[in-house]
Amino acid sequence: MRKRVVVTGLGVVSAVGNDIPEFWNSIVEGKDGTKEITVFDSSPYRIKIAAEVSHFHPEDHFSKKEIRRLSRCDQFGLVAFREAWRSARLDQDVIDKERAGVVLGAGSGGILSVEKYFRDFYQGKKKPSPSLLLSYSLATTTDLIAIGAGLKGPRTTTATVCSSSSASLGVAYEMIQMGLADLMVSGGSDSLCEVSFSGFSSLKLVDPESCKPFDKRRQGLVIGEGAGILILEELEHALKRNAPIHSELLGYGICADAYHLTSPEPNGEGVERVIRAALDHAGISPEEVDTINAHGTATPFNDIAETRGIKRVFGERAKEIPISGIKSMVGHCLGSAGGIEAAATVLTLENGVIPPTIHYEVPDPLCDLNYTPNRSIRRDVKVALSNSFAFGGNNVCLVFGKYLNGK
Amino acid sequence: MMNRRIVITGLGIISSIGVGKEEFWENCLQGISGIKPIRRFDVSSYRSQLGAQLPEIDFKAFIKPANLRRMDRIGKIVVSAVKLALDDSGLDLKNEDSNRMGISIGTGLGSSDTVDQFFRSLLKDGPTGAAPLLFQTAVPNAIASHCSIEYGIKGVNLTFSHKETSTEMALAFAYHLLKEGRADVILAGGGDELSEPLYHVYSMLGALSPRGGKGLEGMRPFDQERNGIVLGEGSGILVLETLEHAKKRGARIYAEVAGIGLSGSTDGLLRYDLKGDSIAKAMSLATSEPQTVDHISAAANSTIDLDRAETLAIKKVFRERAREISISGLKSMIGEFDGSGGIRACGVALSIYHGMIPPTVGTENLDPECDLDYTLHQMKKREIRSALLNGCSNGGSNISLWFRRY
Repeated sequence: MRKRVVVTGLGVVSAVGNDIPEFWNSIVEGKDGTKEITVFDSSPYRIKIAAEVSHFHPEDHFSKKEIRRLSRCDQFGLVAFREAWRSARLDQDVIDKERAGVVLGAGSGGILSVEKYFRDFYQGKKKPSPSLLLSYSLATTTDLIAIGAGLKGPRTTTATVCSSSSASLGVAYEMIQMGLADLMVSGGSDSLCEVSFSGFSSLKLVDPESCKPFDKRRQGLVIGEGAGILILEELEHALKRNAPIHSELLGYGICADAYHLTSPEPNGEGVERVIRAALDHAGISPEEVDTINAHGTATPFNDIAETRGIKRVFGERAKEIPISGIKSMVGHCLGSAGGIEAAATVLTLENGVIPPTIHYEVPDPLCDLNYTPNRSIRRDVKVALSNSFAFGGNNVCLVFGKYLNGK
Repeated sequence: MMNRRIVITGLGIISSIGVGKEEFWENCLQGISGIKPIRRFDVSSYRSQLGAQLPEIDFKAFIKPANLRRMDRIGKIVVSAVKLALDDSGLDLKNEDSNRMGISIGTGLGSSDTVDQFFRSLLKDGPTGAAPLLFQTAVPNAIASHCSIEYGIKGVNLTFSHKETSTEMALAFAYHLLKEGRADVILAGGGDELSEPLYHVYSMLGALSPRGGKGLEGMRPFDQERNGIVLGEGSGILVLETLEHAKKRGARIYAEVAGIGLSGSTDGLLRYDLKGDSIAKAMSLATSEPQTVDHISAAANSTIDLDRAETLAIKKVFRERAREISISGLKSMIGEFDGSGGIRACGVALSIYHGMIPPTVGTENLDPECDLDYTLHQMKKREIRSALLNGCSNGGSNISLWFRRY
């Protein structure tokens, strides 16, 4: 018998809001977080936009000394973690910290700091501070959260970039299944940096204006940043301490396309397999799925492959399922995309509101599903999927369900 | 269903002391160290000069030419280890369901060299210097993607990157998924390469021997004069398989994976578990029969904190039996690197299979606080009922895997 795992806390930092209420209001209203880049000098680039986090004031959260040592990625992660921890009422309840762990997904991590170091080092301008190199490991944010909160349970970091933090939720789920933890902090954090921005630009995968998932005019992603942290908790443990239960993580799938280093498998066969693996693991039939939070990067190939994959699983019903592409608002947050989108999926289940895909104007005959264009819709949702796909075909699908007592 | 047993049926090793399990094992038993002056890049400006580097390898012997072109060096290293492991296992992929096969890889900084090349070219030439071909291999999961593409493996595919426990985690996750019945076979392990930027970072963070500039440079776990780590590189891949599946195809079984334990310590971002409690917890969770543990492949990386904590942890778990356990520190031969757990796990499988325990080398005078049997200098013949592999990362992830004779 598998243990039931529920979500008891949520925290988000994003381009459209630095806490859950603001984030949720923004995506329900269809607010676009895209703006001019300020975290690094974008003047040499043709494209100068990203879904950058704004109104984020480190000094509201950290001491001067901490700010010197924490990367932007660490700061987002810690702030989102604190919100999730509080919202799960874990600041009040006494828990066994030997049985609480952290699994985050990482993308570029704190490379922004490492870039600062090596820019100075290679250009010989001045002696850079070695503390910038604390971010060299992708595990740094994970460790900082665990150390700060004194969590002595299992700890690791997944590193599949664009699907990392969805994978981390799967791994955290397993830590609870293994009996190693009562609760796990999971999700991810990531910050903008020049390496990933220029890398995606060099692959011609970035849209110069806005992120337009599934729209015929789409040219690619808008890079985003932020953090999405969830508290996953074993149901009995959550009930015993009377924790707020937002929804249940019913299962997940992780598969490989085994196709190409950057292009998705074009027929949607990889997407089909990961959704089927997830549904199978969750014990949910395709008929029960009410909404899908799409990977929806707005790259020409991804959106076609994802659409085809969804049709392969759901057949005729595919057109009836409202799909959200929230990357149109929060950008593609790489290592935190899955965490932020999982938070949105949980909020969808909880509030009965499906956030829209914005900038949707010109339908693409190859993307012919219901993408919830431009306006959110009210809908009672019992089961929701969240898709995350990564370079190299590292695909993840999460299945969340409304928490129903006794199901 | 929970009684599914998981076994090791194939080993692939690319190490500084040997390519392939035969060469590796022979050198390992003889206590031959791979640590030498670094030649692949210029270290003249550093206080440290040593590393355990791979020999020149002809990757064409391991990888399809069309795929080889797309891989960076670490990709080639790990895919070669996968090839060796698959060959060793006798698996015929034509007979396998590719959806029931998976890949679980751990790497600390897999593509650090590629990221560095990309960044330097960006600094030099601005946006036009950003090279798409470098970028696509710079992501940490490129390694696992290379493996899946090379062999058309379509099941579970995941990459872990958590400092020195990256590969131990990859193995633990693979074990659990096999136990849950989510795959029949998983290629698990990982690796890292010794690159110039990585060497620079470790040096600037003050991790490399001779730490503080005092004493002789070298890897000497448990020695009074130890003074930090020497970096290494390489890859170790294990074919993990359900016993049922292995039996059906008549596979040779090296050992059984029988348990895993994970724990976290919170002593600081660059600190290991200082009191050994967390390492002890990981070992206790991993093994349900501590009285059968005859061998421990220690995380021992020649840092005072970790050597002492691990020793303390072994005493906490095994009490009066602690001195009867044959401990080895393989990092004394292959160096320390985040993805070392795969090679060390192969070592444990070979130890159990052959009844031989490789030595810890380089150590002359034991630290009085490290008073267990570390199998110094000389290998030992010993029947092993069961063994533990410890992985400990700075920052505080501690993982222990329990292997049993099949």
